[in-house]
Amino acid sequence: MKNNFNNYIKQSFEDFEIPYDSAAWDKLSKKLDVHLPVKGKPNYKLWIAASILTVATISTFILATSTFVENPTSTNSSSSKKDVKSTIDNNSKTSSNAIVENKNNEKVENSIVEIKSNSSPILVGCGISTTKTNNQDLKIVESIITTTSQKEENTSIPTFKAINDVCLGDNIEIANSNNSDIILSFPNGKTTSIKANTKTEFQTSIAGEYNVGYSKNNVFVAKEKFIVHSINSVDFAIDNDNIYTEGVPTIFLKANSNAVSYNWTFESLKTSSQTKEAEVQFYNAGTYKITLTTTNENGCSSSETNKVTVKSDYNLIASDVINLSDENSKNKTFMPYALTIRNVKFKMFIIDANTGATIFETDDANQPWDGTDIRTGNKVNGTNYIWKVSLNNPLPGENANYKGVITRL
Amino acid sequence: MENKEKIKELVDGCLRNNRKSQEQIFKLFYGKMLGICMRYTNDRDTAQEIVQDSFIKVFEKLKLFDNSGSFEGWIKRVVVNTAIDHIRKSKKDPFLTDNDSDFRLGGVDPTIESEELEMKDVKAEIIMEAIQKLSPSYRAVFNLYVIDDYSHKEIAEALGISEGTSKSNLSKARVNIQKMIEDKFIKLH
Repeated sequence: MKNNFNNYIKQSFEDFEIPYDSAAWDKLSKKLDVHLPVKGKPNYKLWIAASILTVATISTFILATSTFVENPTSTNSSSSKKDVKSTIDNNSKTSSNAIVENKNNEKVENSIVEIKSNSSPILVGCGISTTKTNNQDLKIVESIITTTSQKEENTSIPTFKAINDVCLGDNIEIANSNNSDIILSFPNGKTTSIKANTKTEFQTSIAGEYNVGYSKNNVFVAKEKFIVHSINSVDFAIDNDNIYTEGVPTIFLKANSNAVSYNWTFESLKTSSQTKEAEVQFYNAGTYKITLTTTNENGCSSSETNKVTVKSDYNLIASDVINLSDENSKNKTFMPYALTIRNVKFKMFIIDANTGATIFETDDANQPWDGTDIRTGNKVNGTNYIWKVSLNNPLPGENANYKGVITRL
Repeated sequence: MENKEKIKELVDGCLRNNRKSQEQIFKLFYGKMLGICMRYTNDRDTAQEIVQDSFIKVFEKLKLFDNSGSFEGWIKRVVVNTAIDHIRKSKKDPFLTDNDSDFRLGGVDPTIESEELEMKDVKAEIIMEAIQKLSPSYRAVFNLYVIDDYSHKEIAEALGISEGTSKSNLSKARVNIQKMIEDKFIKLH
């Protein structure tokens, strides 16, 4: 088991390498100038002379090579000569152009360096042997380049489409239309491969940066990234203790989490609120769902629903008794308490429960029923009366009509 | 990659302090050597630094290389030694601390074989990530023993720890790596 594991790990790193970065050589080259300085660097005049010599020797070489290529009886393989020829062509181009300008092209760059090495004092002045050395060096350069380019061809780079950012919990679909597998890397560092010509759909469960890419020389190369934005956790408090506020049954709500925007919605009500703290009225007994949806700075929303129970129907907080001989004026008269503190237009009728006749009516909360039958002007002496109130403009969700019984004590 | 003839020519060029030959040697081995350095550190910049230092040593000490052995193997040794030097310099005494939190991933010995097929595309990258997540003390021992063929005795000498610590760090590192590799694979379907 242990040995299997060790071998497995060791094997997977056998050919592991990271793509070449020419900037690394530039850096090392500068360090080498300090640690291992090249003695007797060529001066400018010598360099010009060397270039002229190089052009001359290369031209001769081209002529020679051309002859070889055109000659089918040559014992050398023509393909290898072509390679050499193309490299030399590059050389001859660079000799007439500014060297720095061609640095982008790898082949040209190598050829340029070749000219430079020619110009070093060690090689210059060696006559024919310069050409020979040059030729050998070129072959090596060429073979290295060929190796590199073949590798790149073998691992054709898959194409990727941009993927839009989403919010956590959203579904995402990634299609791989390539003939090779692609890799999806998760924000937690985990990866999975998506097989060639397949697509995968999943619900996002981790927020963060996702990358889609491919494996090159066993190194993950990210090509497209998308963000799965986090969502805020939502939590809110319900304050149902002060049953009535300003005459109406008010429930206070407060979001415990910060967000860019809030939206409160209520079961059976068409109203909504958009503030961190909100209030709601339910006028009938029952259990209601309250949902808070918050949106964060990334535009991602999340919601939480809680239930609230309203124990009794709202009935204008009306008393159900009247005591005409009580010392307390509130008990001597009848007016639903809510109407005395709510600024609301209404009409109230008092009805004799025995006869059904209306014995009092008012639209002024300051004129409560004091037990007088307005038809006679005398105080009533029965026991059971009914009150009815109709509101001109009931609140959202509120009934317009209320009624109740009054017992005369 | 390592064609003996070509390498010998390049080495000869390097011995003459020829920048072009040095560049070609660097180009030939840079990728592999950076790969090694990446295993010994957890950031690319440090790895790059070690590679740079290593190649300066390679070119400075090239005359010590006898052509009998593998040149790549020789460079590799230089790189690994430089990486060890770097770790020793950067941390005062990272090899004596056995941090228990590094061991929290431990548990059931997972089997790697069953995952092998699925891992074929990304295995080195994943193992690399796992190795980089290890603490420096576990990482060095794991790399040296499992990948770079050092014995516990050699590790003990190189890192200045006891053979026992080397063995115990190795087994803990191995459990962590196994666990991390196993965790790596999320089933999407």
